[in-house]
Amino acid sequence: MYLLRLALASLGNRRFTALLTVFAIALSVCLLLAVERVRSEARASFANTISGTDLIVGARSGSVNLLLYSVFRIGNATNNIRWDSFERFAEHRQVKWAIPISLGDSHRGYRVMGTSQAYFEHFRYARSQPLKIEQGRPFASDPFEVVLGAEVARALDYSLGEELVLAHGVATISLVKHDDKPFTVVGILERTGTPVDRTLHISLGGMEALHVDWQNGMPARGAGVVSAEQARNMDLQPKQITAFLLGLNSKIATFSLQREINEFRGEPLLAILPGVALQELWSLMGTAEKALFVVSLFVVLTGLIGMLTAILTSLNERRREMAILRSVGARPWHIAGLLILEAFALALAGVLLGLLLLYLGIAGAQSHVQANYGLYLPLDLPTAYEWTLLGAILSAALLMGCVPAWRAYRQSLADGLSIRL
Amino acid sequence: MRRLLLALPFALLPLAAAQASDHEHEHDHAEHGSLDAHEHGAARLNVVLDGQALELELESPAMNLVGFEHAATSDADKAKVAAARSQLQGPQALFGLGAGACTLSETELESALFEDDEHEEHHNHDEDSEHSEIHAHYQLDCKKPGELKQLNLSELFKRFPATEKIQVQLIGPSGQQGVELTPAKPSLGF
Repeated sequence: MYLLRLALASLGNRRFTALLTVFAIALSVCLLLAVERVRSEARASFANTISGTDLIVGARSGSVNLLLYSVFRIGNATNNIRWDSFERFAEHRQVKWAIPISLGDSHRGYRVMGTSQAYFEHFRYARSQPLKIEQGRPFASDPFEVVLGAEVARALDYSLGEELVLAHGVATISLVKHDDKPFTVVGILERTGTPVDRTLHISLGGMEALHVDWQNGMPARGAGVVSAEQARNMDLQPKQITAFLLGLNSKIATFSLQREINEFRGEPLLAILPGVALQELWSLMGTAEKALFVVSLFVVLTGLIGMLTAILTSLNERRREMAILRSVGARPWHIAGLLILEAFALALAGVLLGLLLLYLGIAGAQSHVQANYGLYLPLDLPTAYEWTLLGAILSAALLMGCVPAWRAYRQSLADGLSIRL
Repeated sequence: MRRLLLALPFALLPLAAAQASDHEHEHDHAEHGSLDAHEHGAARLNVVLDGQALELELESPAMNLVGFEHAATSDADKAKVAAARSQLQGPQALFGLGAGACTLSETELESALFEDDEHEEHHNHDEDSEHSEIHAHYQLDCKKPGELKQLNLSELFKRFPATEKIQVQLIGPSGQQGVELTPAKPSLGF
């Protein structure tokens, strides 16, 4: 115990260097844990974005591309698909339910998705969890009703009954707004931790009504303008959608239906298995994720080597300290133990400060990360794996402490009291 | 630093993979309007387990299973085709499905090579194609599907050494999975 006290007192004497060393270790530990946490959360939220859907169908492109725009709302579809094709497969005898998806508009940076009632009924995320409405109800027959994802409602501070205007296209700042046809918020979904939170849901009829008077990609002017009231009375049957999700009666039929869709002669379609495409996408990102982890490991190593350097360079200045300790009866192994304890104390302080920094950082950035990246970073205690990492850092520090300890041990044997400084 | 450099190739792996696929030996059958990849050494396997029903579909270039892709004319070639065909009749052994008390209820083997054997009259229907595929479709009935823990292709890799990788799509109780299996990593949990 007195050894630890001595080690701490000695560190206190060099508090500026010691503090810097602790801070370097703390930063590196914080980085490592943050990377680890983002990594595991990204993986979990990734796998949780969609569940229970057997096939996703869109225009023929790549499976990852289709998954990205239909589920993650990233990127855009290469082509739309015909409503007839959707109807044909929605009525297929193997198909239990079908959810049409129509994308292309946005509201202040959040994507707008046109869909049908089936979405609220059949869409599942995480472990087969259905979507729940926190306030209000799903959109009904009126085309100008919108159901907000939890994040949209929170970030833009919308409540039930408010009116909002959608923008054409998906750019954050859009010059063309559908301001002649405002939408009323009728429902707000419960938080899911998936891209659903960042989506505004309207009916396919609403999507059609927005563009009913558009010509050549431009809003109509003068006499051609169709007001919201007029649009309500029009036939708002969509002619095209972006993609659709299918649930089947029996999973056995998945591959044969996939083949049937892929070989459909009516138009080039692509059916993908969401689980397989997710794994494909993750294996692409997995490499970057591993690289990030390796880099943060090296940052920790750099922090520890910084500590080693600091202790080693101090050894020479401290020969007198060691000599005095020896003169009052310390044995050489006491000196060695002192230095190992010093290294351990520095690393421990670094790890603790690193954890503190991590939790402060998570607490501060949590809502921002959730809003912008859809990642929910929990303020949980470290997981078993994180404890292992921390333990490994501490043992590495102990091991490194052996180097100066060994040198001090040798010096204190040779030096005695008669050192010339 | 050394170790970091060693990690560099992994970071570049996606690029390398993208490069490699450019060189892949792809072949299209214009008559379907869809492009079917045909890559020697690679095969595709779809597996679906729902309740007691287990279905497997194996699609492989004939090269991997028989060693050639032209119609078998010599006696030696015919013997090879017959041998491959009989190997393909036993999916339980081939795919390592010993558990689960499965019985084979239907087998379907399709290939230009097999057809030439039996129906002389409509042979050579893809004469213009230099490649032929073997398509095997199995339906099994598993009394104890809970005991089916994994799919193991090591026997398939052993019997058909020309097969280097199999792209597996599996739908099981735990959802959909897509994995590439190789002789070094031949199994996948349901």
